[in-house]
Amino acid sequence: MSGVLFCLSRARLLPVRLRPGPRRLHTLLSTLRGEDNIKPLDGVRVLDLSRVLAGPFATMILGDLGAEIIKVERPGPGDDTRAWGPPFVGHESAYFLSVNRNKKSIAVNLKEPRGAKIITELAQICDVLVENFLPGKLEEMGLGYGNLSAEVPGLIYCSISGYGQTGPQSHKPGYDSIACAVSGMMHITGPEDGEPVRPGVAMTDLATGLYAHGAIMAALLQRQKTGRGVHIDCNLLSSQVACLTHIAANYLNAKKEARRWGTAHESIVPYQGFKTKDGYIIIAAANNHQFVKVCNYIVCITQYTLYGCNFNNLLFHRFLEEPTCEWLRKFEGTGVPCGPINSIQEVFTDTQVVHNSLILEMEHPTSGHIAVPGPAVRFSNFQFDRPAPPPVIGQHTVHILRETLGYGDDVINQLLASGTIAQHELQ
Amino acid sequence: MILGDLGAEIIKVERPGPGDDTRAWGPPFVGHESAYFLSVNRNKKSIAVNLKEPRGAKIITELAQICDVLVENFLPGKLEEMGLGYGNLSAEVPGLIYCSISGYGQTGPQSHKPGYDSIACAVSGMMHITGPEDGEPVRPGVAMTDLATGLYAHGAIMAALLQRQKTGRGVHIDCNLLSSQVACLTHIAANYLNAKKEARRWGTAHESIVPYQVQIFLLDSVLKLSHLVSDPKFRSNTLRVQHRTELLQLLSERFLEEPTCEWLRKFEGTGVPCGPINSIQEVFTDTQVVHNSLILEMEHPTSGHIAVPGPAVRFSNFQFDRPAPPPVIGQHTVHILRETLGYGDDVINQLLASGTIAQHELQ
Repeated sequence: MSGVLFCLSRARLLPVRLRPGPRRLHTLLSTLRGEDNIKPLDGVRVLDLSRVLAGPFATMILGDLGAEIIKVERPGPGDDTRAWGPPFVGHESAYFLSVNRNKKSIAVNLKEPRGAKIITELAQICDVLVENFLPGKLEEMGLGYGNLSAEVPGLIYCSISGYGQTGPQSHKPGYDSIACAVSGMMHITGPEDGEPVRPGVAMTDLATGLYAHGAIMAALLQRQKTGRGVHIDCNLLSSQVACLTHIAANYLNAKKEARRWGTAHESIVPYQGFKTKDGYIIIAAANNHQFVKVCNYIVCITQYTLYGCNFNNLLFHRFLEEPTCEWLRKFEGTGVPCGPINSIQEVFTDTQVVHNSLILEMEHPTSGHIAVPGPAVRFSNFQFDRPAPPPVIGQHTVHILRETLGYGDDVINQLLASGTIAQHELQ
Repeated sequence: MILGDLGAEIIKVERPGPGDDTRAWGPPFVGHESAYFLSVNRNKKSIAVNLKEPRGAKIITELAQICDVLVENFLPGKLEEMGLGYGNLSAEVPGLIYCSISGYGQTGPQSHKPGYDSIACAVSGMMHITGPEDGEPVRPGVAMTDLATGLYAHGAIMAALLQRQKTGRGVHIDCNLLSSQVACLTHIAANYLNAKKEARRWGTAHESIVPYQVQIFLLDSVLKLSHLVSDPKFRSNTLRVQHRTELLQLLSERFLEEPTCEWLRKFEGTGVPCGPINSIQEVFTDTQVVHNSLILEMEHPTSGHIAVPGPAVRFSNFQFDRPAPPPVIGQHTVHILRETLGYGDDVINQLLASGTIAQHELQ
């Protein structure tokens, strides 16, 4: 069934185009029945050709928000990160499990024309395509934006790369560490008198994935006005440079080069980490009021002893005298911002982390019981219920071809026999 | 700011006088505005309203009725005290998308604490995993926890706009620094949650690839260290991980012998991923950064010519044209009240006289 349904929203008429298939009808009927748990991206279908971190992180969030994610992997190894361990949980790396829930996996060899054809057919019934190939590679297979948008003008095509779709570095593959270095992020991270370091998790990749997930939804909103899709250019370099914000503005407007500050802040003192008897604590005395409190009530150093003394040295020595929990107890209720530098174990026993449902547990068909960080953002009108565990490689290949593309068994068997597609023994 | 880049009309509510705290966060200043403020406030209108006065709160309520989205980062509970909480406003405006940003969440044992990037970074484990291999923890050089939260929020707001088209109703969105950063721990978290593997700091290195994607034949042709190729200690990645300290020491000594540009030249075309650790000056002379239009220049009414990082994501079917410079404090107060809310001049003058609102001399 295809047609146009008009919805009233704030006295504006917005066309909602129905596509063939029962999904949107189901969502519509649920809405009309007033059923709860309508997710924002219910009825949206994403063809996910991306791998490793930035793309999968973005599509994972879209999946959390209700989109159907069809993850295309090459037969055999699949997404590279399946092998990135130890640690492994069963056959899958913890790395892969951490960013691939709520997706179906189809294993297709894109380099074979028959495999590329499957992608073209899937693109026709998807709203969004996400990819992170080197710019130009998908065009070689007839799967570039130019190729697919000619047949599917409404397709939202999100490309994620290291440096951008065009330009002097665009031919280079994207690696978080290198983009982090080139973008200035590494230059500004590290001990005050030490060497640059990179953030302990790939924040450049993750920021790019976050930019991408928003851009995709922006494109969905735009398509409702224009009826057309778009080619989106997300890349590690631009994402991280944009995130430089005030660091960049300091240079661009005042020629002020940045430097490393350890845990400290350039313009607020003290606002940094201190070693305690058994760990580390961060405190922020962001105004005079808080500074007095730190001196008098907590650290028990009078301001008069500061004359001729190095204040930070005093603090350093004082904090070493007690364990972190004791300092946190002393700071409680004073209004002075502080917190422990938590290890990962301490993070996941933190009462607020548990309260925020940040440990998401699932049953995985081969790995058994797994746990990953849960969705960061919560909505008052729907639950992230029934998350689907990360798929095994090629878990849904036959299902998608049969149910979504309407392939017959003989064609499916030919494709399996030729190695163009692969199906996991599990379904 | 990102929503504004994407075409939304942003009405930025600031308290009369100092306005957004970051206006004063300098040096450096460009005219009266800090570079900090200028970097994240383009494409917005500023109205200066005292929310603590009932008449000021009423203005916000009236604006909420003709807005799609409200974004706030007050301590949980504070806006309720002023009658501006989600419960209050959604009763009158059921379609309102209300996005709350906080340090720890809207509820829970730490929810009363204000959010600071450094502290959330510490509590969330991010600081524990960042720093030199044998050194102290450090924080990322820019507030990535804050920024990740903002990125999550901009996506969530658009998700809610899409959802509202199905349901006709708004939503209360809970974004917070702690959850954003913990969610971003991804595999670091999964290593602990599934294998009890605690994380540690690695400097610039990667835990399981040593050196990070350096291919062996380059030891011969580029680095002229061919004796390492046949050394059994370094034959596979697993062995290189085992002998990482020794290998990295040998490589480090070799790299010290030439300048960065010479090494980049040698690596060009070999397929080995590499790049310089750029200073900020070097970032903004990088040819790809310029190509990606990441230097966005604008004329500011009091600061003059300013430059800020441009939008990260590009779309094939529209341009980020005619960006509006960051507003001065209260630049659009009267304009919004008059044009958007239909206030008459006498009411506006009363509100100005009582200090409930403020208008900058510039308009």
